[in-house]
Amino acid sequence: MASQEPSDTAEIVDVLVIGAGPSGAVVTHTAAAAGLSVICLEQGDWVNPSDFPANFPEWELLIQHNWAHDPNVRGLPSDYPVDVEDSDMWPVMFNGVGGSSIYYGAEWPRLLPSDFRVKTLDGVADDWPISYNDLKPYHDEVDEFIGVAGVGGDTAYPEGLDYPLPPHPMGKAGIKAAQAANKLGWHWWPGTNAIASQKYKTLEQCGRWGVCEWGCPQGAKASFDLIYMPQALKAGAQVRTGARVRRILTESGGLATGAEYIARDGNVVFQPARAVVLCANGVGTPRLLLLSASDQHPDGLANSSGLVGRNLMLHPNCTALGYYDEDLESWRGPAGQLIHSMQFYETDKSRGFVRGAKMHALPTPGPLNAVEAHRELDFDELWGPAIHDVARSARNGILWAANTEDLPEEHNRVTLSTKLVDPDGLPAPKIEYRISDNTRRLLKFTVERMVEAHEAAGAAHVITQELWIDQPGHLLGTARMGHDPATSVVDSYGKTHDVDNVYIADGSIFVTSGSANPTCTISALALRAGKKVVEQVYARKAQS
Amino acid sequence: MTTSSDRRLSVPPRHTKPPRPLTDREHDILLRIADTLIPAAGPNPKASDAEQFLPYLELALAARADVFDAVVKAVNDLADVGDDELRGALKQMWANDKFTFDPLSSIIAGAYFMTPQVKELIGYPGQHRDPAGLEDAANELETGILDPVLERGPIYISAAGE
Repeated sequence: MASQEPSDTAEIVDVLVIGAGPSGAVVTHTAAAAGLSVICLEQGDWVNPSDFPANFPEWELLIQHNWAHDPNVRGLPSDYPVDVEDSDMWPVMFNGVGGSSIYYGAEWPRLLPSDFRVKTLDGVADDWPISYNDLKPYHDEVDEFIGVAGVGGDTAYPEGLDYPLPPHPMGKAGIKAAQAANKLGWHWWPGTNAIASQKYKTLEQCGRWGVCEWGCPQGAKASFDLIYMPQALKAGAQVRTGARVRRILTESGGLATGAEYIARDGNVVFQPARAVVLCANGVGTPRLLLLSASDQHPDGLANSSGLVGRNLMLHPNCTALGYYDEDLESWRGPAGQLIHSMQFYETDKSRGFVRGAKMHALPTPGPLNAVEAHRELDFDELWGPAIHDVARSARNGILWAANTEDLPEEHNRVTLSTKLVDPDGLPAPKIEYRISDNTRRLLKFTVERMVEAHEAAGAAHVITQELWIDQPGHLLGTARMGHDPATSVVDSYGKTHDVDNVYIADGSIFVTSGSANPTCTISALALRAGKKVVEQVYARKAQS
Repeated sequence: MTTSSDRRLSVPPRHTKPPRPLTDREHDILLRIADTLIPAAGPNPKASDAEQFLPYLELALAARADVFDAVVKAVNDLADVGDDELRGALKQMWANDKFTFDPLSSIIAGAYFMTPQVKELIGYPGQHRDPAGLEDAANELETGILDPVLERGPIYISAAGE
């Protein structure tokens, strides 16, 4: 019978990383490569490229449930439920080695300089304690490590932006979208993607399968089980799968001593550590900090500010799906962004809102997906003879999609559910998220711009969606960074203000969300945090 | 035998057979429904006439085993509806019970568009490995398509520290 009493025979490890997604993989590698002993705990396990749905003819049906983005739908053993009863949107994630990068599109834009100075420039939210330039060397290092593909010199950014691999072709769909942007006088740029356009280290060359967001069958997308984590293992790190962490423990002196996890066999194991780094995403990390409440930390670990779980930002997504009369071969990838546009990224107060959106054009693979996209049509417009033409339209589509910048608001938060528990009986996270008026105006404006882009390109018809309720995998802001312990949870290196050897290195530490796809920034922040962890663990070991 | 230690935690098992075989009666009704939703039109066959539709229908039912019971119930509920009334009954289900109609119609359409004959008819090659040529991206850019953007120059807003 499984024991609920933790074993205490494990050897102390220098760095204990919780979560094997992008930030966890970067920190695990950084610490192991520096010669520290590292264990990474992951509640899921490894996934092979051959497992992914696009390997099978029924892939479009598999992604509806068994491989759905929403953990509440797919309900795998690695998943925990997410209580969304009081939320306008349903956060999604993947739980396994690689984390949500298993499902991400690998769009790889950095935040812009203005993102770090929103309070100064726009008088709302807060400035970050670091700048664009502070983060740039870490971005450059990550980009080189994972082989980002793109065209240097993007005019939406300061000078000095370049990538190690050549770009992917835009294809007919991307060129069509780019021509429309030119016609409208908009900024656009060939898509920057963390997808290897040539074989690179442990990544294969992109096969343009077009299904990046449902797992890359080629092993070409930089999901962090395929890059960073393999190198971390080679450097001596251990990844312990099937390990669901239930709490972080602290000693009377105030330092963390390690973490307790429920192993695959149901036994509870205590893993002692000199430093603990949370990399469990913007929902999982605050959940774990709240689960770690104790007499010493009655409101949760590292929560003296009361801000753990608050300021959740989700990048509300909107789309305009256009269908054309000409063949765009839109079954072909990458997807991945074919092109992106930062034309409406920055604040223009004449639009009636602050901040903006990052827009990107993607292909539209799959006839059943085209049918699903047309569900809002009247019955007779979809079912019956019409269905043949709807299915044919799949290869003629362009999907314009956008992340919008939602601002930090304390009432948007993660707490512990009183109704739902995970398969190990731990309380699920509860999401309370309401879309602000600013965001609603931004969503409406952005959809109108994307429709304009389709019209300029001559689309035959356009289907819009002003909010993708079950889309947001961008989980940000719930343990924000800052200089002041009263108004932030961690410092700019991710070290918690309250516990000297507990760090956070995932999207939780964002101050504002920007509207750039965040994994690029998460990885750079994780590298910066990981290097600081190494420095401080070595310093602490030297002292003792 | 699968034990807790070798169970895959992050990968759903793939099944190629539905939870149980349909009865002959259920099978017949499902094909009538399929042909109503996907009738012949021009070069396109009705669902049941598509080559290999039946094995792909079985695969589709297996892929959505989560809704198998609801789909079979819907099939049985439509058993006594005559051919002339079936379209109207399905339209009513579409209007009143999308939680049944949507997966039922997804399974049927999913099966139909998996068949090699129909894929060829609609020009869908399926998702497959199709790596780019070495010069493809460069050739696109050499057309000058990016020139208007470059001519406009930087658009970012400066902030202290970049």
